[in-house]
Amino acid sequence: MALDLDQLIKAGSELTHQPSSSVPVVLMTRIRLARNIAGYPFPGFASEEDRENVFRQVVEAARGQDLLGDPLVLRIADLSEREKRILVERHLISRELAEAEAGAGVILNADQSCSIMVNEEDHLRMQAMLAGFQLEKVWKRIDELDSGLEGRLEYAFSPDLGYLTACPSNVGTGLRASVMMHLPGLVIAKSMEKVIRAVNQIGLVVRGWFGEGSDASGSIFQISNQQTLGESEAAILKRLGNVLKTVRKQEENARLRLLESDRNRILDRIGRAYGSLRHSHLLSSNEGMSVLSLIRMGVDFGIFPKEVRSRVDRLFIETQPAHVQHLASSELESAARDSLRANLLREEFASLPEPDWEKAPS
Amino acid sequence: MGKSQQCDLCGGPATIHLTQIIDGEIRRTDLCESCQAKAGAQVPGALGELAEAAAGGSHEEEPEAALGPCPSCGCDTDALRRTGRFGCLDCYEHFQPILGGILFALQPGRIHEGKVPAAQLARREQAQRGEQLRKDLARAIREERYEDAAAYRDLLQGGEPEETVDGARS
Repeated sequence: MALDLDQLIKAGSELTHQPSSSVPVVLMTRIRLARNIAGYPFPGFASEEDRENVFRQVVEAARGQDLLGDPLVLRIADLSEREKRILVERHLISRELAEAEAGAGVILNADQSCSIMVNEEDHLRMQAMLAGFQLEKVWKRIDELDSGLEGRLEYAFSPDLGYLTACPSNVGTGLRASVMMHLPGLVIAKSMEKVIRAVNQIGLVVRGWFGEGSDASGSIFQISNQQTLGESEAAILKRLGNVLKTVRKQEENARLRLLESDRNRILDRIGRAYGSLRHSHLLSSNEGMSVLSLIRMGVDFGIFPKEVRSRVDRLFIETQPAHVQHLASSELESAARDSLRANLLREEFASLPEPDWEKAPS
Repeated sequence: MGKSQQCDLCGGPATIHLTQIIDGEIRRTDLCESCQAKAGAQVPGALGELAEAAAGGSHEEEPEAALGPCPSCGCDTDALRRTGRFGCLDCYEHFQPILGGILFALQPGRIHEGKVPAAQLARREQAQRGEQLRKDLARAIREERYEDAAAYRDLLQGGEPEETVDGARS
């Protein structure tokens, strides 16, 4: 099946077109499960033939799963570099999968809230994601998909060690739950390091917007569980959820403290971001992220209308390099991309009302 | 620790050098950019532990003999050190002597507490029961216990026998 990028980008996707689920501080919740099929070596040690067989089996099992509907099935080998990068920017495939070959692919549902990567590090990496803070709901969905697939696939499972995975850091539940958090208050207050340290100490990990190895541009952080063995899914999610609620509270407090102690500095930043958004002619990807990030905080303060928030969330994704590149018909230099990005943001926010500074809590 | 550091994962030139202090122990990891991107923050700890254990390194209880490659997939301690990954499910059995140490370093527990593939386990149990019934049936025929044989056959065909096998005899 061919990938139609325009359709993919314009489709009513969960992360980009769900105005009602866009909330302060938490961008999205995602849970992935790692599974392998008994009888085949893990992808890293499997022959091309094995990987192809696994791909076919998974695709067959995926058809008819309620959550996937009539899924889009893509083989990595059939995708262009740009297509792969766009899928990465939309959090639908990992960079590792983008580089994989024989038998590697992804199965996507229509609103892109659910996908199965095939032959990445494990035979199956299925994920469900929803905008907002929704650990329970996301778990319910992915659990249902997993049980549905299990009806048709023979998983590698041991009663003692649980679901067997290529890397022993995933063995057991194979579950990684991540919540993407928008924490500009903690970043500006220079408290993020402390938060990261505290979170690490209880066995959770903090990463940047694009996961492992990425930076935290836009003050967006992904917080997830690290451990998978010796704790039930419910226990993992509960612990993570509690920590995230604390982090959210800390962020809210940090923002209020900043408004109290450093009001002009914080409003100045939002005002300048507004200026950049409305009048820039060159914006790098990082600048774009940080401008959008400040506007989002402005929405949370009430300075901009609430509807703006989901637009910001969509543009966090659509101003990434490959997405901007896609707007142009030919390959662009980065300066040309920066200009295109600035144009896009000026147009998207042409009707953004003037900031209503009085609305900011005092 | 010379200048020509190599990526711990792929052996290419390393551009990222991580020093971590875990439980008071200093761990160094050198990675190239693409492996860092792939492997991320969690690998140094995991990998260090794997490499150390696989090499029979600084752990107090050393494995008696160096482990050879996994007979099922050929994954050896070198590959483990390089990738931090097992090759197949049998590796969990094969690398058992060092698995405990690895899990101990990575995981809070040693025993799975979570979801169980219930449908799959039921399928397997049913297959095993079928296998047993086929054996019983063959034996009953061999021993000319035809009533039992008929009951086993009914069970195998998914129907309830008219009388239970045991009941028929009592």
